[in-house]
Amino acid sequence: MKKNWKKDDLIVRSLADNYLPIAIVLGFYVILHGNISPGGGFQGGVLAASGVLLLYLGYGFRGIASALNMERMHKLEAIGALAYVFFGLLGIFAGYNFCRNILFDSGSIGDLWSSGTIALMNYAVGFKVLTGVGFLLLLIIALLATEPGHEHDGTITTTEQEALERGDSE
Amino acid sequence: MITPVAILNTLIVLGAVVCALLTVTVKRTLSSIICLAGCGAFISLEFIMLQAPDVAIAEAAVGVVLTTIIFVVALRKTGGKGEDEK
Repeated sequence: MKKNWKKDDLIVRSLADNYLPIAIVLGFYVILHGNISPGGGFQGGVLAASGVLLLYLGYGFRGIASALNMERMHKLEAIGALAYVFFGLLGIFAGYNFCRNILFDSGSIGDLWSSGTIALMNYAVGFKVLTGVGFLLLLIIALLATEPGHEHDGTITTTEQEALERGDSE
Repeated sequence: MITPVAILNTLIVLGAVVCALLTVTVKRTLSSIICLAGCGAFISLEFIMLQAPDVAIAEAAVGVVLTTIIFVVALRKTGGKGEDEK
């Protein structure tokens, strides 16, 4: 594997274009059905946040930096945590303990809306993990792209040949 | 009694063990990282065999994607030669 990945590789970009909607839709499906099927907020959030990685593989760091705002994502993560605490405190406000389900008789067993407050807390966790892992991936990619001598190309090129060339130049 | 499920289970566990052994025996660090991702994929399959799809999704998302990316970036930032110091 001596050939580096080009930034304008048509195959990688086409695969990123085709798999990005699938990753996002699957992630949001897992988040939305977290209370009645395997998965949940964390798993769906990580699945949806991996779309950032597909975007990076297809378009490099420039494409990500023009499409996503890191500061906004960092602030939205705090909103997810606050939403979880708010839905947990609803139990205390209603006179029960923390994280108590207060929306009884909401749908029948097996429906999407059948677990009351638990589904809302699940969505809060999913939102927090989606923004948090997305911000983490963006931070890692930004660290990789802003390395001195590698601003021209933001893609992962971890081959021995290029490392040796870089070692020789240094 | 040998059932197809038992054979599949054995193959998955053997694959995980082989990937784990390759992780610590291969020379290049990048190959070691990829073997670790393969080990995570086999463990995810084993979680499905053990009727725990919830854990399998978490393992596949975190153990295969996130740790691989973090290791590749760390390797990239620390030189990327993938060999021991001579």
